[in-house]
Amino acid sequence: MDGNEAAAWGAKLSRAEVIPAYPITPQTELISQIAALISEGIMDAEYIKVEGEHTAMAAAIGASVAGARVFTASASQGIAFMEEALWMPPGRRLPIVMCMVNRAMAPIGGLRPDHNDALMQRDTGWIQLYCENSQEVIDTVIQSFKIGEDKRVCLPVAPCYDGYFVSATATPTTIPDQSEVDDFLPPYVHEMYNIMPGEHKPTGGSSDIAKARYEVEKAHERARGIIEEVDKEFGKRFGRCYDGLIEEYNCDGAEAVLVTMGSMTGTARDVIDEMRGKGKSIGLVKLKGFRPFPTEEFRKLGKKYNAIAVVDRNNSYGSAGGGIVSMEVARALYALDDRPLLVNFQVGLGGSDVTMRQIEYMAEETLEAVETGKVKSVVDWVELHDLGEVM
Amino acid sequence: MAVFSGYYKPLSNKAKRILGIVIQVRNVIEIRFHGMGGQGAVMGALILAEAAFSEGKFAQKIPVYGGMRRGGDVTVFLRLDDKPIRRTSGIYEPDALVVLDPALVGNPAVKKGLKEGGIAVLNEERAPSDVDFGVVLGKTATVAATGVSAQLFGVRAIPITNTTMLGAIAKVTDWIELGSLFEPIRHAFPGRIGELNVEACKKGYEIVKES
Repeated sequence: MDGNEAAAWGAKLSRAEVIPAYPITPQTELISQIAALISEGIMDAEYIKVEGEHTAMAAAIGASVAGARVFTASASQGIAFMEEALWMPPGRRLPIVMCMVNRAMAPIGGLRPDHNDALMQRDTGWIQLYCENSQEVIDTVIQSFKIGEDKRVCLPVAPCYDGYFVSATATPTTIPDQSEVDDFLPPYVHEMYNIMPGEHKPTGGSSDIAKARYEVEKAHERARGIIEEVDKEFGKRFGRCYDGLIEEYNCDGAEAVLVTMGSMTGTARDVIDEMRGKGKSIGLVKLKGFRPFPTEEFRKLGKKYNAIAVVDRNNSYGSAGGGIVSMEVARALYALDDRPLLVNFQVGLGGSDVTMRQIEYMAEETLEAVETGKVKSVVDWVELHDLGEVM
Repeated sequence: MAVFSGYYKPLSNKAKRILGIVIQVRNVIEIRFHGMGGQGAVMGALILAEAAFSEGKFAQKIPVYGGMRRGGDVTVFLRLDDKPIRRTSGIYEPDALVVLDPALVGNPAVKKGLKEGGIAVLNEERAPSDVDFGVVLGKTATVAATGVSAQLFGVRAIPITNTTMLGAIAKVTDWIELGSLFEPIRHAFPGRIGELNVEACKKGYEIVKES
């Protein structure tokens, strides 16, 4: 089962009731799979064909306000086209779930993934959870409804996964039993969320507006714990869990860690295992939750390791500070008295593959930084080095 | 419906020390398929993955193509392992190549990175000894799959060669048993088309030549 099929089954098992969607590579197979599940009578949902992504989100908002459990998905330019509407669900506290099937933005890039399409929505208020493989996709879609619909949260959730390397990559995947999912995820009961006391519309004095925004911020704060809680409960029931917002992998006694997001994490697991086997002192941290950002978790990592190397599959033009994730990590670490070295790599841009050699290169560079106590450059564009592996 | 999980919680280093487990280099088989859109490289790799899974192996299929269209070049990465497969990167130094179209056999980009001692299974009328890959291979196998396609599916601009290649693979490698391929083929192509593809698969098994 590939990532797109897994997402479709996640929506089916979660008993999503309304699916407004518009196709775009590499998300197309996801919504065509949902259409097939509905037409074969396996899934009971209203599928709304729309004329574009903006309308898909508008229809999703309408259905969610009416009390339905809503699922949709998009990618790249589609997410960008939808953006105007994307601000509505967090502000109106609507727990819509939308898969962002990561694909590079045009024009410098192809149909394959980098994370800029989802990361540029970081300020809209959506929860973003990045998945590594199809198993994590199906599990995270189910968890996302539970997280978003929790009355302490009431926020939309975006499970994100890389186009092709997850969306079209078929691996053995467990489909949870419907009855067990039903026990885990009860039907959605919609309550109109009072954005401001006595009102449903975000108008009023400036302090009221600030209060309403602060409410969304507090919901993100609470979501940190709830994401972990939901993951733990899922683990107890289904035997698989993902350690909440971040996972430390093979880190025992390591001096430095690589921080990865999305499908490259699986590749990095193999490389890190081999390097640990050779006595190299480097571990791996998988960043699953980008929003809410695991600030405290990174501070804990900063106290444990001498260097944190962030692998960004995105870039922010003109930032002069490297990739988006590294900027977030830098902000988290700034509060520490004794800060670790912060190393930053940009790789997989525009949808290029992130290879084992590139990961080994990044790990070696990080260990060199630990040894010399110096970071060579603010950001290293890994693909500009010839590592002899390009097809 | 639960079969087994693609994800598994790895043991911590502490647990490994207690259990006396040494981290091992994984003995994954990495195969690269090359074909043209419409020949069935993606479906062929998926059928092989499902067949391997039915034999208790772990498998992973990653297709690489631009927009989906007939005639464009298609590359598919396939990994087989006895443990769950975690890496998602492309395959640059394959243990084996499967080439679905004779026009691609001489293409340098197709041959690139094939390991010395590796395996090449080619849609090719020539004898294996007449094909030069520039590296010493452990095994070269040729099967005239375009002819089988014409015979079973009619003459087409883009011949369907995937299931014939799968039969050849079953004969010359230890990746899969011929019989394990039939159910996934029938699942992929229900009805008469499925039976024709099973026949193509058997034909590939019969006529493949190896050296």
